[in-house]
Amino acid sequence: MQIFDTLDISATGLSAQRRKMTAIASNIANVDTTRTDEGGPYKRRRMVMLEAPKLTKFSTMLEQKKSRLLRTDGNHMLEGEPRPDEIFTGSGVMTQEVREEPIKPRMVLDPNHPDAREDGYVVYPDVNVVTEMVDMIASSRAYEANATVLSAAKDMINRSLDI
Amino acid sequence: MFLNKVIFNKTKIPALNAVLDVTQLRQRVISNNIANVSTAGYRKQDLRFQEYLNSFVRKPAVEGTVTDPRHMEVPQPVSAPEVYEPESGLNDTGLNNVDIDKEMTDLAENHLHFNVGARLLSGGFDGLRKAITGRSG
Repeated sequence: MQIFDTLDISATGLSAQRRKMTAIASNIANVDTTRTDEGGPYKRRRMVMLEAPKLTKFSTMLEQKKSRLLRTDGNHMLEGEPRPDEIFTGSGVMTQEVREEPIKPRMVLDPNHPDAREDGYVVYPDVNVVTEMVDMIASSRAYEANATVLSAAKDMINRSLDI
Repeated sequence: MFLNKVIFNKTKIPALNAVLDVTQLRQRVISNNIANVSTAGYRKQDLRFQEYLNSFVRKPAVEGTVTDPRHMEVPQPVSAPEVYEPESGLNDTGLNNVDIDKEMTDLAENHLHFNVGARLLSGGFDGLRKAITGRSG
């Protein structure tokens, strides 16, 4: 329904930031993980943000045509003016998860470690805790911004009920 | 509708109706920008609506009546609001051109516009109701 579209857009932003936060939590928790199901050290999870696919012109036009009332008799009421709310087709954001191949894994000389290589080095994941922390702050600010938008939208809907 | 023409179109209600429509739409545009604040390569959007709202306030000098389908409309029908992509450079993150401070300001401003429109609209309806029922009603 048209009136709740704006809430949906903010909701996509909120859930995208939350997924990003989950990825960051997992990266920090696995900062020392040297053994995984697929073998080798843990690979850093990164959430890539994408603009959600826009509704096509065709589907919006189809919806408009479907909701148009037919006037088959002179006594029928005229339909009101067309409303200008069909022209914006953005629908928020979505995420895609990427497992990053380690570029510069942390190498620690520890020949007694069960996962040590033959040369005595242990390969640790390529996760930088400082980077993760910075990402976390950015993500939580973005989450707050989306929450603010959501409460503004909610307030507008509430206000329009008082007319 | 005939009643619409006689009662509502003479008041400020159609203009305020347009204000609410436009601010509601702009709210969606701004929320989309904010939701995409960390999307790489996203281009921010905005709504051009001033001309549309002005057309409700400015009275045309000449007004024609269309009695034949071949007639032209005088004045020309109003230009609907349109979504456009404002030109601006990348922001500090280098990901896209969404300036979060500007978006939040626009959001607050838009929110106030909506509230003003809604308050005036309910005032308009109150006035109309009073005109129908009289002071005792």
